[in-house]
Amino acid sequence: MSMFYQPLTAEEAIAYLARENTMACAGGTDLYVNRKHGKFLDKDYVSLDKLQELKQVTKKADGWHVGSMVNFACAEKLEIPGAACLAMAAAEVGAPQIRNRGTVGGNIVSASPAADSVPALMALDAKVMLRSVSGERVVPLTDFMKGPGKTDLKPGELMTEIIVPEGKGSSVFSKAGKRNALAIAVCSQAVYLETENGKITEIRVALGSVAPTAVRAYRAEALLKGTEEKALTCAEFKAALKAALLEDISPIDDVRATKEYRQTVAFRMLMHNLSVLWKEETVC
Amino acid sequence: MLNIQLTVNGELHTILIDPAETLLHVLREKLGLTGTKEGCGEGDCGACTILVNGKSVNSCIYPAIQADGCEILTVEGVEKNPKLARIQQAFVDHGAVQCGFCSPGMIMATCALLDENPTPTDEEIRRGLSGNLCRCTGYQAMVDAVKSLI
Repeated sequence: MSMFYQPLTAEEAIAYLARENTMACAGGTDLYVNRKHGKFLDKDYVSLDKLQELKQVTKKADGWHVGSMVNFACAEKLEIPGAACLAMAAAEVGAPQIRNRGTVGGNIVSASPAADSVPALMALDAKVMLRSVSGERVVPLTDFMKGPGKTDLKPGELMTEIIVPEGKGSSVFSKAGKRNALAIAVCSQAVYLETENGKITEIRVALGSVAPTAVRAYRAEALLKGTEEKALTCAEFKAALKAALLEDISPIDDVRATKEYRQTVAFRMLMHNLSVLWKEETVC
Repeated sequence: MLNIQLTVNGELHTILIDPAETLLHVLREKLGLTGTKEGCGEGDCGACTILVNGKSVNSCIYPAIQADGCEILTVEGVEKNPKLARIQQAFVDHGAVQCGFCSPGMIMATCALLDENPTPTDEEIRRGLSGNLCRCTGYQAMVDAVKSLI
């Protein structure tokens, strides 16, 4: 039978995680569904629920440090400059009951390709901080996500914080699902934009549910950087942008949607998100 | 096996649990509080909604051990809790109960919604109850019941 350790400090938690056959339990909203399906039943669990130090959000020199145990009910109220997409993504997670329990760190480590918070954090260029008995390391989120259910988390490591750099631009998150609540995304997208004198100076686009992990759309970003708003109405530019975006993503047919539907939605979302952000940028 | 302490509907209990047992299982099987229902068992339907320290949660995917020392409110609390009793009466008055299986979860979700936002808009009511499914699809009567409490 599984053991269930309840450490009170991160220090104590990593000592438990150093033991054989242990895994962390954050809010349990994913772990307990997996257990119902017979997964991880032989593991011992290290509960992170009592680690107050991982439930804090603090501003430091390199950005905002969001504790991995910050739940989505709290994350949807965050007001980090330039990071509206994170709060918007948090508000789209499950339903109130899930948002009261599900955590940002848990969402990342579960590594669902459809995780709502991951594209938002990728568009914000977030990094994750990992601690184990042998030390601490910081990994860009884009490198941390390895595949469906797979991350770069090493045995014995605990994700303690997510570092979100403060941006001077604006960001937005969109999600398409079969219904508004409790829906797994068919396609989700976060865009971060900075403009100067009517030109895009910085853009980061990240998508969920259209590849084995959430992905950055580097080709589309390269095309968009330096362009003006009117370029977005030019048919030729739009065709090139769509082609670039479709190269960035690799959606598949599954029970929720077809590959073609996801491609169409991904591009329309990009055009929509750019127009929303462009308005915000010009008002500022 | 290990002991946890829960204050359920105002009463303190010391309960012997399996380490990975769910809170739903403890409530139904150890305390005999069968008002809280198991629907999907995966946190999708909200039939098992209860309040832990005032926050609505799906008890079917809640590790009981993490609730050690917490205050729990279940639909049985309606006996002693005037606010819950009002919600129950509003559901009755508006015919917001069909087969009744989702009702305990709906009532608990309404309780959490009104605690956080005593004057929700229609949109906010629907968002507040979005984690609770009704297979009889009697949603409008429930929204009307919640509106009557504002």
